[in-house]
Amino acid sequence: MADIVMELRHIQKFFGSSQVIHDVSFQVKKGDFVTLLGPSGCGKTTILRMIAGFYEPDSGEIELAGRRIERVAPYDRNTAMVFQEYALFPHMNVFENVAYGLRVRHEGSDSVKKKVGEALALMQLNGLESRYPNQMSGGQQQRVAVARALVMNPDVLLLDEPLSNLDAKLRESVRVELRAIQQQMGLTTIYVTHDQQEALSMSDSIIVMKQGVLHQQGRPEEIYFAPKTPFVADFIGTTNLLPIEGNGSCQVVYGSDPLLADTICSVGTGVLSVRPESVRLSRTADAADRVNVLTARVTHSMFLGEKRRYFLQDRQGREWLADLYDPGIAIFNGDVYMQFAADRSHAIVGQEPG
Amino acid sequence: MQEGTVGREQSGWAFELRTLRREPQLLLAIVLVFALFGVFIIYPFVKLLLVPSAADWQHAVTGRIFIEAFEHTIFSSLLATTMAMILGFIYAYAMNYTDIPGKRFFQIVALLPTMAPSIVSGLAFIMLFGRRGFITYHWLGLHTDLYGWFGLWVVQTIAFFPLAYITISGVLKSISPNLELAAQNLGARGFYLFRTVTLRLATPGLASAFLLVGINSLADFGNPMLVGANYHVLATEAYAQVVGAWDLPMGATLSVFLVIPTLLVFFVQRYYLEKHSYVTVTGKPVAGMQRVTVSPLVRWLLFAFCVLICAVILLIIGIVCLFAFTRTFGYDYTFTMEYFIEGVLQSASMKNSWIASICTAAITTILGIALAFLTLRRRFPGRTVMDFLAMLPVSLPGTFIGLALIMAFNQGPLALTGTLAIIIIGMTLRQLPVGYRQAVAGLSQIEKSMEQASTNLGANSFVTFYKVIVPMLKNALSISLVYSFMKSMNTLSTVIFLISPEWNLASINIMSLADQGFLAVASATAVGMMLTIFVTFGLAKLFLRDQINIFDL
Ligand SMILES: Nc1ncnc2c1ncn2[C@@H]1O[C@H](COP(=O)(O)OP(=O)(O)O)[C@@H](O)[C@H]1O
Ligand SMILES: [Mg+2]
Repeated sequence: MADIVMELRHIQKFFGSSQVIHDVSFQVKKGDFVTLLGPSGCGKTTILRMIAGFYEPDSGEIELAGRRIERVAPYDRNTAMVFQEYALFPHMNVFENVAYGLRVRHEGSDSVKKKVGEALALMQLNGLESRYPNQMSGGQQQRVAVARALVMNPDVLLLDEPLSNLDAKLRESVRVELRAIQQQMGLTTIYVTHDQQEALSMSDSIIVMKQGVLHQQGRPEEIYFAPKTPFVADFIGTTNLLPIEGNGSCQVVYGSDPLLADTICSVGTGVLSVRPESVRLSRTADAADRVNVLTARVTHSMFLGEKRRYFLQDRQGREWLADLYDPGIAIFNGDVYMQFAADRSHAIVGQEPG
Repeated sequence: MQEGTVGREQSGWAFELRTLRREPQLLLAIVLVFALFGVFIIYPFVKLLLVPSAADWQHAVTGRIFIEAFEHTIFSSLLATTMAMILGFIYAYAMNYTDIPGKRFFQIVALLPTMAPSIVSGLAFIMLFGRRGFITYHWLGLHTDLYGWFGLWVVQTIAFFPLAYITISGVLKSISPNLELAAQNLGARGFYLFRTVTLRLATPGLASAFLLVGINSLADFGNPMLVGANYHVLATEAYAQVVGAWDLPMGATLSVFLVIPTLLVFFVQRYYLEKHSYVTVTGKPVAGMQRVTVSPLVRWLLFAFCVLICAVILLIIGIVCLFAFTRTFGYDYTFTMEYFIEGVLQSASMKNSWIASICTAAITTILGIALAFLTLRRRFPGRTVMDFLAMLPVSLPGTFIGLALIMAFNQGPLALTGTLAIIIIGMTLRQLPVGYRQAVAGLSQIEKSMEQASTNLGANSFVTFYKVIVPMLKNALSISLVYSFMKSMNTLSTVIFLISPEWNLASINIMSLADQGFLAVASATAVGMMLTIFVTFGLAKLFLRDQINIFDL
């Protein structure tokens, strides 16, 4: 496809004799914001660094802008990176930091001035040109780090948990801003994070990883509503995972209870994922025509402001979570009925619960 | 194409070479470094080893004089090192664990002797306690003779006290006060705290310091020359063989014997102690906390001790100044500039020393940082060999280096004997480990991501080196410049074989003048040396301003 700007094919990476990346392949479309998401230690940084050239994959290929780059020296790749700890040069002021890459390329001083000016304006850093990194707040340093990468107009922009050193409020506003700039410039971006909120809110495409294995790539909605593995279902948001057995129709059996799920119409065992916000509770089994009704007992509940989270136990002893939004002050307790719509559950075929 | 399907990270020579090929300039630099090391370290030392014949070896092993010199060397340096370590430890403890008044003063005074050649303590000893010594002869009318092992012991103890103090102070500083606070919190105090926590944590560092001081005193040449008299040690005996008896092979043999213990010490220090250390000698001092763990009585005892040490140091420097600027100290106290003019202003040797030392400082510093960058941040075959060769000269006595160089570059395509170049090469070899160590310590504190950011923005190794690494290592760079300049000005043993009538040096002048009894001119030259060092630092500070940190090392 013409609009694929980067592709990783069968990448493996070892540190010593322990394998940290297992046969990872994915494609990145031009102008997309792609997020590598996974728990700490799953190999996100390692992948990013292989793209930047700080590590060499032990096997596999990386193609960027029509060129095989896995053996190219890091300074010849045009993959500007924003480091987690910013890595601003302490002996250079803001202007010099941002101009560094352009000057290395021997661009004329007028062009350097113009480009740096634009990048600083974009990151709202005007007026701070002559500050040194140690004279700026964390948020400002982070902006300089982004400006320093943007100004290079890279084939792909790499960001390694760039927001992790900012406080919660700032993180949210920078998130919006970063996404806006990325879309405005049409910049292909690989973004690393372990924060699912960040991933869901910013990305065109999310790649979920665990222990060096790629579990799923897809749009945020796909990842959220149609997880391909129990791990993805559990890692993105919170979910209830039930072991199920198919019986040839679109019905599955959970223990002895028949359940109806839109996404499974084949034979076989698997896992059913039901989000807590899809579970409804009621005291009476009033609607006999409804499907997917289970009895359960409330063990305790927790008030979280916009919702109340219930912890339940069904007849088979399995723990459930149910979120009731706009909860009011009435509280369920004791035996209740749980119900969820057939189109609100998602079956993952042929997998055991994670 | 899938060559890496084996279940391991790619590594080894082939992989590293393939990576290097992508950056030809880097490869070139590495080859160049190895070539330099080959020509100026490996070749001379192999050559020196090949000079003595089997008969020379046999003669040296069986000859009573030489066995004796060997024993003297070991005995005297053990004595001096132990004493210097004890004094240094007490002094360093007082500086780091008490709040005695005048600490800043004590710290500065303890460093003063490093600005003068180490034989200044020998010189002062002769002037005070020598055969015509001011105190023994002039005041007390004694006809004592303190030359020999006792005099050497005193003089070397004083000469190596500053080194012991600086090193131990570094060790104590790097012990986290939190550990001691924790122990105090658990009820430990006083000597118990000292014995169970402080001393235990410091032990590996102290052992390292002991060996470092030991290497220096084993290799000491000037002091045994001045006050050893008939108490010959290997360094002076080798010199006597070469210069006195014209027996070059025997000189070489003896210097090899001298290298054996120093090399041994080096290996123990580097490959055993450093790995077993709880704290690193070069570690960042923990900021801000004042440790006070001693009782008032101990505090005042320590204070008295520091006063005493400072008095001795100031006495030494004072007596040298007095001898330098009075007509005949002890008899005629008229002020005179005569000796200063003769020894410093009219003598070319001070200028020579200055030129050679400035060049050495510059080369050592740049080379040290480049080497540290290569060994720490680049992967290539032979990296550990490069690291080893850069540190090796620490263990080589100056006389050994000097002798090896004149034997290697006496003739042939690289005939350097009698030139300034060979002096600078000798000094550089001697100082390289200091510059390298400083750079390694500095570089280890810089996040790798700094260089990665630079590389990521398109800069290759060279651009990254001079645009990012060098500016960020300003501190290490300054220390290395200052140290190697100071040490090169003062060195005696390294250059004793390398000087020529054309290129004589001030430190050699001091020794030969003192040896011939021209104590006043020798003193004036020593004073001139200290002044030259001060003025140079002052000028550097004036011109470079914030580019260099000289006075807050
Ligand atoms: N330089 C290295 N040497 C050895 N192991 C490493 C190195 N870097 C990372 N690892 C290991 O590789 C795995 C993946 O690390 P990383 O890519 O940093 O994870 P993430 O960025 O997803 O948190 C971890 O188990 C980590 O311990
Ligand atoms: Mg990471």
